Parts: sequence; structure tokens; C-alpha cells
Amino acid sequence: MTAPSHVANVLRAERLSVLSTPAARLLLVASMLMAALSGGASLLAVDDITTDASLQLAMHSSTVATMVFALVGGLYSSTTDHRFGLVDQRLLSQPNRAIVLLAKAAISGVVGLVYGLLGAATAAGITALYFRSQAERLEITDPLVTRALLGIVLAAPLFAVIGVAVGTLVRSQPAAIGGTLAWILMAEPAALVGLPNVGKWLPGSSGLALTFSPDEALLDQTAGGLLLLAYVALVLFAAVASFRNADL
Amino acid sequence: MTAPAIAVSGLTKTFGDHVAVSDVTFAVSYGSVTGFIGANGSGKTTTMRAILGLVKPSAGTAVIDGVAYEDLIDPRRIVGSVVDRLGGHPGISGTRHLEIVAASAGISRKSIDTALDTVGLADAAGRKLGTYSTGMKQRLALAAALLADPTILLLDEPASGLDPQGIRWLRKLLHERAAMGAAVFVSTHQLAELSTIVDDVVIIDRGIVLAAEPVGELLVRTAATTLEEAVIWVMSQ
Repeated sequence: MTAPSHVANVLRAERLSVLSTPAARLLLVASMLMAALSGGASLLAVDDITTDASLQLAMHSSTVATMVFALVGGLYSSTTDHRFGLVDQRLLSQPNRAIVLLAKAAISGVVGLVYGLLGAATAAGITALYFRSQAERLEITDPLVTRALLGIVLAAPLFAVIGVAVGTLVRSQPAAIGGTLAWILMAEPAALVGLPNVGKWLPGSSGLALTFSPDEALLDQTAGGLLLLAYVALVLFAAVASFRNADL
Repeated sequence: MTAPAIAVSGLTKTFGDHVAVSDVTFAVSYGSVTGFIGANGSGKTTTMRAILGLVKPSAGTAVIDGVAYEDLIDPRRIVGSVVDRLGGHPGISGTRHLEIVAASAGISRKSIDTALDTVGLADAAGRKLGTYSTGMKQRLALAAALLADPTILLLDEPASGLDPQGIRWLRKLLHERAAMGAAVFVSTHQLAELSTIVDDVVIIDRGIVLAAEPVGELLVRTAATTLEEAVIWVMSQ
């Protein structure tokens, strides 16, 4: 039986590992830049930002980038462990593979939360700046705004954990990152357009729903969030089962 | 008679259709250096990784102090190991690498400085792993293995990449550890590196153990005067 102190050791090592590698910081900065760029572009494209539809679209455009970067962060983190043999060192200290993987998922979830909070701040900031330039004032307490911001704060850590799980299942870094991005950015949008009754149930679509996308083909925000949570549980379960029996 | 530090019994591992090791059986005792000798691809690394729980055996068992590695409490305090990869990110420093290893095993930070001094890497500890030579990475791997002052050392080709002075230093270190009562299990495909310090040998070829006995007995059995002659004789049978 693994003692709580052993779990704490694994968490501590994982936290130190994430803080030590520059990739997490670089991805976070890139995420915020993309959030600002995509949010800004969307704001410039709308006719009247004071309408609910335009505001929702602008907020959502900003937050989607954060979701994708959090996913890539999780993928990068777990595949890097396999690429450089870091996973061997973890297991030599803590042979319980489920503990090692779940600790990684937990720390990645916290990193994802940071992505989410900074992503939300970026989205709110860029939108507020635009409003100001139009002699308008962004009400943070406006339900459209708070739902979008809350959505990305919740979605980013969930996608980070999905990234860790997929990266454990598909250990090759190029395959994991390339394949996942192709699925999220191409396959799912195509499914949502071509087969909307199927597409709306897919993980990326549930993330879009949670981040309060204005697309009416999607599930509502709460249903999307619950479905995404179910996907996290499913892929994490598969990753633990696979990792437990894997030859390293 | 004390129980063996490492006991492998009937260990078999297949990867798809390829049989990496077949029915491998041997034991490693405390207070001795056991050389695990075989050519590249003979099954040494697979065997060692199976002992450490990194590879799942298809059959047989490998235990440390009578217990599978995955059932050890605080395994790093019992077994210090060097496997075939350093297991460190090239973008972090040697010190940070050891800090992460120490944190994962609940080992105090004080041990890091001692380990770095032991392997002669104190001056280079602040440099990123990506700038390390092969020999330096090997020394760092040994530092990680020695962090918790374990009673068993399991080292896969530890001399790889070391210069002649480094090899001499390694021989001295392993000999001293065994003299202090530790069990040292070290694999090599270069006999000259460690032949002067091994007490027992396990010879493996194409996944099959050809001999597992004290060096003295092997020399008598093969009528050889050197370990190299004895190993060549065994492999030619």
C-alpha cells in the first residue's frame, strides 16, 4: 500500500519537473498571445460588440486557443517523459504506475488551471480594452462574460489531463501531438458540420460547449462540461490500464 | 547463509515473436560483485529492466530481498540503479535532475552534494544535461543511483562512455561498496572493464544463461587462466 508521504514525494517531483522545463512557460506565453490575437481579430470583425451574439463570439474566440494549448501542454509533458526516459526514473522511485500517472495528471491539471486563469484574464482584458476603445464598458458580471470565463477556467485543466492521458497511450511525441491536433482541429469540426448529431458528442465539441461557444449545434454549457468530465475519466482509465502493463 | 539480494528464477520475456530472454535463473549475493556478461543484444538490459519492474516478464520471477521491485517500500533506499538511459531532460541542470530524483524518493537534498562529489561532477552540476558528454551523463546516472546509499547496486553498462581514469574510479567504487557489504550487479560487454573485481559471473548469450557461478569455479571448470578465456570457452560450447 502506498503511503501518503510517497504520493506527496511523487507530486513534489512532478511539480519540480514541470517548473524546471522551459516548454511549459513557453506554451503558456504562446497560449496567451494566441488568445489575445484570436480574441482581437474576432472583436475587429464584429459589427456591433454590444450585442449578446457578438460579445459571446468574441469571448469564445479568445478562449478556444487556451483550451488547445492546455491540451498540447499535457501531451508534450507526458510524451517528453517517455522520450527522455524520465518515466523510468519516476518508476524507480515509485513503482506504483497508477500513482505516477495520476500524480502527473494532477500536476498537469493544476498547470491547466493556470492556463485557464491566464486565458480568462487575457480574454477579459482584450475585450475590455476593445470596449473602452469603442467608448463602451465591459461588465465582467454580465452572465455572457462570466460563463465564458468560467468555461475556460474549467475546460483548460480538463484538456491538460486529457493530453497527459493521450500522451501516455500514444507515447510517440509527433504522433500524439500531431494526431490529437488533427482530430481536434480538423476531424471534429468536419464531424460537427457533416454529422452534427454525432459531432456534438465528441470531446472537442464538448469542450467548445463548456467554453460557451455560440454554435447552436453544440450541447449546452453544463451538458458539455459533464460530457467532457466523462471523457477525462474514460481516457484516464484507459491510460492507467495501458501504463500498468506496458514494457518500458 | 543469507538470502540473496537479487534472485531471478525462470525469467522469460518475449516481445512479439522475439524471445529476448529464456528461462534465466541466477542469484546475486550481498558482499560481492557479480558481473553480468554478454554481447550486445544478448538480453542483459531486458533482464535488468525486468528486475527493476520496467519490463513485465512473460514468465518467471525476479525479486529483490525476496520481494518484487514493485512491492518494495522506498525502493531507491534499497536499490540504486543505472539503466540504459539517463532519464533526464536535456534542458535542466545536473543538480536539478538529482533534485527531482531525490524529491521523488523522499531523499534529503544533502545527499545530492555528497553524490556529486563521489562521482566527480560537483563542478559541472550547474550545467544543462544537453551539454554533458556521454561520460558525464554516466557519472550523473551513478550519482542518482548512489543518492540514498542503497545496499544493492544494479548497473547496466556503467562503464560505457567513461575514460580509462573513470573506469578505474568505477572499479574502485564498486569494489569498496561490495567490501562494505553491498550487493553489486553490473552488466558489461567489455570484460576488461571489470574482470579484476568480479567475484561471481552470469554469462548470457542470445537470451540464455550459459553460466552462473563464482569466478574461481568457472576458471577451474573451463581450465582457463583468465576470466576472458573462460567466457570465450563457455560461449563457444
